[in-house]
Formats: sequence, structure tokens, C-alpha cells
Amino acid sequence: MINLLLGFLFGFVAAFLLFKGVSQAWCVWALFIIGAATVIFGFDVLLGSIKEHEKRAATLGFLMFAVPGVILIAASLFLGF
Amino acid sequence: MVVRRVGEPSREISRLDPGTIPHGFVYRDQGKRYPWWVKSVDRITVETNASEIQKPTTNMIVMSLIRRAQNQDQPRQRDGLVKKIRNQAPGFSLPDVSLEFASQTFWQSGVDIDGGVIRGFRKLREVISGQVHTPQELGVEAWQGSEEEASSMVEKAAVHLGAAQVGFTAMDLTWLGPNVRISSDVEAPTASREGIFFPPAYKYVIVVAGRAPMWAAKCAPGALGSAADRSGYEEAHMAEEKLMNFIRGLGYGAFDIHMMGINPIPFAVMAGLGEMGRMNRVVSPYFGGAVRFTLILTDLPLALDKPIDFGLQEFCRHCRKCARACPVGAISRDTDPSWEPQGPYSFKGKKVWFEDCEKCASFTSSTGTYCGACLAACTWNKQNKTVLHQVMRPLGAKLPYFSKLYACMDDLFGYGLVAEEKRKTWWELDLPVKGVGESSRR
Repeated sequence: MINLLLGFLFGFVAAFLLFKGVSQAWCVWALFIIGAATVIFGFDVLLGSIKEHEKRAATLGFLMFAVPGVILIAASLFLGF
Repeated sequence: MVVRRVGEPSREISRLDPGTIPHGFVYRDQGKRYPWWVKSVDRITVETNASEIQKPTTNMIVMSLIRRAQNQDQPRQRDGLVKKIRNQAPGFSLPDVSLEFASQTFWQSGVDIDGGVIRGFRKLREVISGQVHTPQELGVEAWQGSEEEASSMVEKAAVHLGAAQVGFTAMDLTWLGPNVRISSDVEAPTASREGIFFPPAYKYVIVVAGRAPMWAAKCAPGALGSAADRSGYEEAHMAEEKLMNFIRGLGYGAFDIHMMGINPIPFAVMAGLGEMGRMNRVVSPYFGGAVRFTLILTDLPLALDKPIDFGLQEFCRHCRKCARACPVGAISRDTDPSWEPQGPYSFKGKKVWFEDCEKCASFTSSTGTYCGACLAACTWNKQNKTVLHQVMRPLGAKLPYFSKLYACMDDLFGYGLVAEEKRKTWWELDLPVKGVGESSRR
């Protein structure tokens, strides 16, 4: 469920930027989408691993995927503006 | 609808390559059995040599039980366990040990703590067979249908009755001891001092899989890990007993041949329930090593299954996680499998990673519990709660050359056996029914 919510959140941000008339290069959008997907994947690993009672996998998986994803999103926003 | 008469004499299964699927049988559609990354194949992925095949005269499990019964590795099984409980040895608390015995309540009923002989369900069978009402008793015809219909029906019944998965294959004396023979002199499978005899019509083998609870299994070696191992067999045997009653209710014969000392491993591989792994046991693409098997021999004509290939042979060449997990170093660390057996309990004719059975049997009988550390540590033992596993399984199957990397990531993420001092935390986990989570299977 939280993955869906995150997906909607990122989609909303992207839609907001589009409606604001902000025009970005395709590579910036690509960075944003890849970053968003990686963050969502990180949350999936976190929550799924907690359900599997694998705490270390949860923490490491989240850091391994979500942190680079956040960096990619930040980079896309920085490059775009 | 094809109708085949029960009692047709079986054709002797002999072929140049014993790893190939036998001819003269109907095979069911394998397309829906597994996801795309598991291939159905016409021969097993283990190399075999028909001219060198050595018939097994015993097996490691039987020997470890006999050694335990003869007290070869410790004074008395009971005394060994009592000592561990009193000394509060990690993994041997009273609740752990009690759980181990409770996990095999039905399957090992009647077995003394110091006795090595499996009697199990035989003592209960008279009572539980009361639910069998044969067509003859009811005054109706025995069930008739095509082999495909029979297999589909038996599979659905098996899963309803508790099996994690079933596979169908043919009886093949290649994998069995010299004391097992086909004989027209018996009407039903019979075990006696003279040997084990199967009537010719009983040529279909149903391999029933039971899941071992992964979280408990990872507490191996120790009583909790053994409880998981016992649970796996308990589930398989409970489903098997009920399935045999179902088949008898259709008007056909069904017999548990695992309890006659028949090793289910070769039949599980032939039926496509997994491949032979480095620990010289079956690894399932769904359950990894956390699965146990038992066998039903029947004369109900069935459509058979084919072996599978999900890249495990290449995967196991580089992974070695089970070998590192073995507490006595019994599992081969060679890159490639070998034709040469190790010790008195393994036999020639196939190219596998033979384990040092002597070390394994000694450890099993000396600890008083069933180890299973290798099966529990397997990289393929994963639940399905995160997309990560659903991505890694196809990667492991299609890019098995990177299995060393996968094994390193597995260790980094903390998968595998639980450290001794942390095993008691199992009692604090909120676990699903019977300790097994979700997974897809057929």
C-alpha cells in the first residue's frame, strides 16, 4: 500500500511540474522516473523484509536502493531548475 | 476420454541413459507448471553413466538412525539431550526440544527416543484408514478417466489435503537397491526380510512435497532447526496418508514406499520438483532446500511430469553457501561435481557433489537432532514478500555464473543461518500458520 502511495506522490509531483509549464529535457525526466522507481523499490524491500523478519535485509536493502533513488531525484530537480 | 485397464503389465524401464524420461507413458503439459525462468527438459541435469550405476545398499539417513539406536556416537540419545537441556546449550532449551518432538507427532508416532527404526504411521494406519470407502464397498464403479485427468485430479486433491507440491514419475529400479524387485507373485507392494516387491501394475510414483518452515529451519543445527526438518516430513506424510486414502476411495491401490526405505530424491528430480544441489539433496525453485519429500506408489494411470532445469548446476558451482554452513565440513567445496563417491553411503553412476556421509551421519547421530543446516542455508530459500526475491530468482536462473556475487549479497543482507546466540529470538517472532509463508507452487 505504501508503495502505491509513494507512486501516487511522485506522479503528483511530476504532474504538478508539467502543469506549471516547466519544460525539462528528456534526460531530466528519465532521471526523475528512475530515481522514483528506485525509491519505491527500496520501500518495497524495507517493508517486505520486515514482514519476512529479516531486519538486516530490510535496513540494507532500503539504504541500497532508496538512497541512490533520492540522489537521482534530487539531481533531476537540480538539473531541471 | 481414454480408458486404460488397471492391471496391465508394466514395461521394464530400461534405457541407455537413466537420466532421461522413460518412454511408453503419457506426459502432461508442463507449460503452466513453473514460471518462464524454469525450463522443462527431457533428461535430468545431472550426468549419469548407465554402465557404472551402483545400486544403493543403504543410505546415510538409515545409517545415522541405526548408529543412534546402537549408541555408537554417544551413550544414550536421551542422556545426551538431557545433558544439553540442563546445560542450557544454545538451541537446546526444553521448549526447543519439546517442539522438535511435537513436530513429528504423527509421522514418528510409536518411535522411542532411543529407537532408530521408523515405525511412524503404521501404528495409526488401522485407525485412519477407516475413512476409506472403496467403490466396491459403496457398490459403484472405480473411477475411470484419462491419464491427464487423473494427474490433474490427484494434484488438486493433494494440495487440498496439505501438500506443498506434487510431481508424477514412473517407478524406476535404476535408483533403488538390489533388494527391490518387480514381482508378479504379490498383489500389493510388500516389504519383508527377503526384499521389497512391487507388482507390475504399480508403476506410477507420486512425489509429495512438504514445506519445512524457513524461520525455524535457519536455527539449524539444533532442536529448532530439527523441528523445522521434522515439520517438513510431517506435512509431507500427513498429506501423503490422506492422498492415499483419496486414491483408494477411487478404487485404486496406493502405498507409501518412502517408509519402506525408498529414497525419494531421485524420484523428486525425475518428477521435476527440483534439481540436485551442491549438498547432494534436491533444491526447489520455489522452496529452495526447505522442502521434504515422500513417495506413493500406485496403479492409478497418471500423466507424468518432466525434470526441470533452472540453472542450478551452474549456480551451485560458484555459490558454496551450503558447504560453508555445514558444521562439520561434510559438503564438497570442489567447483565441479564428481563421479567418485565419498564414504560407504554414496554410490557410483552419477556426477554430483558427493558429501562426506560419514561426517554427516556422525554429526547427526551425536547431536541427537537432525541437522539440515545445508538445506536451510541455501541461497534459494526465500519467501515472496518483496519484489527483490521475484527479481533475483530469474536472475539466478538465467545468469547463474554470478552466483558467487549473489551468495555474497545473501551474506551481506543477513540471509542464511541464525547465529547460535540469537536462536531464542525465534520464540518472539510473529509467524504464520505452521511457520510457512506464501509462495507460488503447483
